[in-house]
Amino acid sequence: MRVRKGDPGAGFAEFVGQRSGALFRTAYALTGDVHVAEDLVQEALERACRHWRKVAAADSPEAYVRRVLVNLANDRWRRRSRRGERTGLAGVPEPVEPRDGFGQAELRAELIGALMGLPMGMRSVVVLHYLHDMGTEQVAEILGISASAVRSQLARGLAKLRESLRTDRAPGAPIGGVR
Amino acid sequence: MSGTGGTEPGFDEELRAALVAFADGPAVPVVDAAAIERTVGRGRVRRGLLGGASVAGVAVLAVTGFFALRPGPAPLSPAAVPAGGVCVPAPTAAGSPEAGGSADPTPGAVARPDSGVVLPELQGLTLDQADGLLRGLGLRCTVVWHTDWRVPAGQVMGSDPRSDRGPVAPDSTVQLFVSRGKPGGQ
Repeated sequence: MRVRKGDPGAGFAEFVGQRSGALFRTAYALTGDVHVAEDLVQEALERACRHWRKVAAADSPEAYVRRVLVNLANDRWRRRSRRGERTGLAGVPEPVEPRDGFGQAELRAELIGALMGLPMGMRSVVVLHYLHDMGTEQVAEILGISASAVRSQLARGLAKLRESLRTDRAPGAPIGGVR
Repeated sequence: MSGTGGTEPGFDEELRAALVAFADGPAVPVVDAAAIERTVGRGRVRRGLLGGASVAGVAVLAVTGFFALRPGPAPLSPAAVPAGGVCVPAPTAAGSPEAGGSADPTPGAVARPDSGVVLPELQGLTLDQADGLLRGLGLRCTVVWHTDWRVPAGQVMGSDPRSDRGPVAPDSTVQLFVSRGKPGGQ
């Protein structure tokens, strides 16, 4: 999203109106908690607002705010990890898609559960790639790491997800073939 | 970057669908941009005030520290007054001790041969010593600082009334002329 340049105060409300939903989805997919996601979005937007003139002048203000958001989520995850707390799902709604069969809903719930068990760096890569359809370079730019690091984290993250599904499901059961 | 090497069929698609369904689950909250701008604005004002106060505080500390860290006693600085002492700084005299000593600081310090206090020799003592001595005699003192290259900082160069002028009235005030040493605190 491009915002108007030149006017320091202009564009923030417009940006919030248009992009806060997408930022919230990112935050929720990263944390699995509605209230935490709301807090993260709020804080990220406040930080962006403080430097809005500079943020608006950037090529992609959304990328900047998303990076702040991911960093905040990472900080929170580290604090909780140090205290020995486990990331859990809170306020996750039950699948409501009527066409979904029980097996598919179960698989998705397992996938999300496994995703929440990943370290935040790995989880961020998976979320940005799969939820927002971002390429390696784009993910690397947002996370401030190299493209090769993104590829490595993604491969390891997917391997862990598969592994956790294998341990939860019966040996030989297909993944993604339950439709 | 699609097709990330999933070895099992449909894994990528299933993961993507799971993430989208999960992220789309809760209702997206309405974010009040105006409230954020107000919050940030208040923070800026608060930081500005704190910043101003900090600058003022640093300036005060710097000025205080400059005088406190000088080797010689600081002119007109409360830190130079001995603890519990009665010596209070007096405005700096323009001239030398002798030139500035012509005025009688306390009319009551006129010599009274019968009931006065005999002033001891104060020249060459430190300010602390002179102050203690005068207090012991029931006298008060004020300090006038002078820059003098030849006299160490903090040393009394003279007094008014002078010690050879006879007794002074009890409870009168003696003006002490004290050196602040070389200019620049050498």
